[in-house]
Amino acid sequence: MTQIQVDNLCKTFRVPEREGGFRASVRSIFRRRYRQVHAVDHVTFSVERGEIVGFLGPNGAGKTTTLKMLSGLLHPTEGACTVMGHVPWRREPAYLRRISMLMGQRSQLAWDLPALDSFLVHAAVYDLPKRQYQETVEELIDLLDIRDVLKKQVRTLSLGERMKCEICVSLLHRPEVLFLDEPTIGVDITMQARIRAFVADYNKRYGATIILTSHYMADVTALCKRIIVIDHGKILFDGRLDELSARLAPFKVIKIDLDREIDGYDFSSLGDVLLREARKVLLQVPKRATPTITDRLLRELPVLDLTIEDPPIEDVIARAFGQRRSSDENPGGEATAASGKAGKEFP
Amino acid sequence: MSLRPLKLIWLYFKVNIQNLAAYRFDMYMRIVVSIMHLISELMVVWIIFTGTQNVRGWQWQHMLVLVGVYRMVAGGIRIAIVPNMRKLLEDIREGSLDFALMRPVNTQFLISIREIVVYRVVDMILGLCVAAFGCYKLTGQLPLDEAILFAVLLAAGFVIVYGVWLILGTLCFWFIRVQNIEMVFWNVFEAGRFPIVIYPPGVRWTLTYLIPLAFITTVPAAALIGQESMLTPNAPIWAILMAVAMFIVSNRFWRFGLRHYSGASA
Repeated sequence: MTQIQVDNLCKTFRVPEREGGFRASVRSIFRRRYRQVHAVDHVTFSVERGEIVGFLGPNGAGKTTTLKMLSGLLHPTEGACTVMGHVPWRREPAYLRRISMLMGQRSQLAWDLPALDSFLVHAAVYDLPKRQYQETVEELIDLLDIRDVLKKQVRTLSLGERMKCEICVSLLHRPEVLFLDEPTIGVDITMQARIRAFVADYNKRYGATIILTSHYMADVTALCKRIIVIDHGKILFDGRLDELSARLAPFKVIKIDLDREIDGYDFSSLGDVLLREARKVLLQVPKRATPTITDRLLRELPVLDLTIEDPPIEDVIARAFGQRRSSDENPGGEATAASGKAGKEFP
Repeated sequence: MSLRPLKLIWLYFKVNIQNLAAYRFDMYMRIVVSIMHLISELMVVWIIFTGTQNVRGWQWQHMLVLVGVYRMVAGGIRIAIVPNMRKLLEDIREGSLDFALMRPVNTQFLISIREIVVYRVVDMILGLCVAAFGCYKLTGQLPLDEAILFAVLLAAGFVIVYGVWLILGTLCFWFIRVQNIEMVFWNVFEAGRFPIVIYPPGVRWTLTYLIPLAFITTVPAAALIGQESMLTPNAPIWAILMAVAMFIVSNRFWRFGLRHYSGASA
């Protein structure tokens, strides 16, 4: 059953623009110039009930803007969208009761009170029957393991603890559709893994539909079978995670261990040299050329060991964004940041 | 009609009481400041009336009533109106208004009830005492007959102030930084410490119809004194009409602003 249907959704912002410097500033007080920014540009996709979909893309790609339109916070400039039969931006209470949005960078808990008090307010705002609230809150407290932190003032909690409380409060009304915008931002690796496990569990338990954006590739690879890659407001890719590398980056990485040191062999004529050590080489080559190049390497070099791998998904995406971006722009902030991190783990 | 709105108000009220504990020292300081304010306002009355018996028909007893009413209104504004609007401005600036927008409750209602600074009730009680004392000095008894009209007009005054604040808060959708507006508000509001009749005709007209300050302090005070002659003719009716008009206009403007917000914000 299709639960989210998005057709040609567009959001254009009018952004004031001025050049640097004093004169330009003064001029802009009186006459502002505006630039049109197409944050979301004819985006079309649909999501089935119970799916977990990952939104990937660099900062400013349009992920959050899309989520905000789906959750009814923004009116689109153009296009249509329905979620469970509702038009989100009408913000009908009947719709708002069935969704939830978690924004990792913003808190919806009262700062000076224990989280439990915020839960009670939330329950009242959503008019939850007492028994249902009790049941849900008990269940969530156990699942998230937050019984001990509930009675502490929110401002005294660690980021990870707070994030779990944020997750708890946003699920109290058992939303059927959940928008998670950077749910693991800033929390440590262990906590990220636990949050991920919890999200997967919630999805299974209630058959909730989840759309997730994240800086951390691991969030997406662990949770989402399907991903939508978005950049400059356009969808670059929509499909299964394992198809992504095939589509976006038809490359393989050849890892070579050499028996002895080799001088003067020209690896760069075969492909991109990712790593060159005395007795170790990492070479990225076009997928179709892989057999011939492997063959050549085996013939021409004293190879001790040779393996062929898919490039890490981070690199694939960073590369895809890098290609699309003009040189004067900062190439895909978060994707490259992620690949930088992954680079260390690379064999 | 369901009781849900009342339940929500009650809940936020309780939450805010709990919050008090976190800011105890702040609370004590502010109560002290309130009392000092009241004393300085009474000093002004005392200074004025050591030189004269009567300022355009207002005697010192009348002025006491007005000072009391002024303090009540100032306190009332600080109980719920200003705190909620401050939070609104903060929410708009920081983007956390998104959460309020996503709640299955009327957004205007929600943003108007979230913050209640309970201890400001002290201002209202002190103000009421001063006003009652003024009335007592005037007639030798407490103005029980006028109390109902007074309460209605006071409520109308609060609605007017609420409307003004909602309009100011809504402006934040366009001009993200409007905190200074609170300073402007209080400075204009100060003018309500004196009966509207002491101002020159132009200012009086402005403070009655353009910025309806007259309806916020002078009109309720005059009702309490029971001297309709000190008012614009039909002042109570005007006050109620003004309140209704402000409520409608501010609500429209808020909804317009909200449409702009959800149409433009990032």
